[in-house]
Amino acid sequence: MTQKHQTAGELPEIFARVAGLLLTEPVVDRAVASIAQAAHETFAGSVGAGGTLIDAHGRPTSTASTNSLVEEADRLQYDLGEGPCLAAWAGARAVRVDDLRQEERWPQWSAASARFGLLSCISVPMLVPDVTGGNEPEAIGALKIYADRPHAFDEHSEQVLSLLAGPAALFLSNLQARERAAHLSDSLKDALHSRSLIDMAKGMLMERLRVSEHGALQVMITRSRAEEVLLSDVARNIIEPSTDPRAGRHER
Amino acid sequence: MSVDKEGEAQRERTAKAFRHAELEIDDLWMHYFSIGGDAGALEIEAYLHGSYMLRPIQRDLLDHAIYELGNSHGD
Repeated sequence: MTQKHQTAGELPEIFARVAGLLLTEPVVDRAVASIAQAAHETFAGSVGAGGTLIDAHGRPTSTASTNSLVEEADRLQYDLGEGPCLAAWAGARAVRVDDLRQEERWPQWSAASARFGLLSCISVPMLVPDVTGGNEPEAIGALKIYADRPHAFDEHSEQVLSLLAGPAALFLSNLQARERAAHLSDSLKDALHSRSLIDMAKGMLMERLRVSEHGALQVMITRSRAEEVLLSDVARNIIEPSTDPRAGRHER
Repeated sequence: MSVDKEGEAQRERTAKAFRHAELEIDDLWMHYFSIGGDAGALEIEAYLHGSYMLRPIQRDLLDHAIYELGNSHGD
């Protein structure tokens, strides 16, 4: 093997660093930047690395890179709608370009990037396993690395970059999950509050009107629709009649 | 009208309103839960697809949840 790779034995250290950042700094861009830096430092031939989260429509949602050269090459890909990262993401497989000056799959992007002095690159998909196990892993983005000379990378480089991309994708999806969970717990708090108001009001109506639970609910629903206020506001008004029900008109 | 027939008729009206409002099940479930609903997301989905029957109070709550969400989307 002619290529000077750092060994996979150093990967745990790199991941510890990435994990440390994720656990303390839940910002996707920073996390991706750290992963890109780790990739950049892993390969001797690298002049820059970057990671891009790509949404279902093929648009980059978040991107981070080690330097502006990578950013420029990235922007070109998404502007032109072609390039190895999009191919790696869409095909969910590693894509290697040995010489951008002779690359014919993405002629516009390759020619433009070669002018910046980027002559070879690898892009690997960031894959998240399907939790149900029923489907193929989902590609959430791509991790890429560039070199300023041709043939800087080989199959082994692809494997090592894929090793970085796998756990990186998991970290990133966990981060997305954590953000979803934080959002969910806020909605859940609101929902629980609203539930208890409605329960309380229902109990008061049952006592006051001598009706069943279902009867009390029907009274409240009828009022909600007639007055065009949310059921929770009807409940609030039953509990504290001084409150102006108009204040709670739903105009979301 | 028997209780079952009544339930089925209501289910049909609610399912129609659900399709019309174009809501996500998860969003609907959260709102239904917030106004006192007790059935799970799977149960309400099955109910809306006609393969499960909810108790009367739960049927009314689900119907009203769709009504409120439909209003807030349409405005």
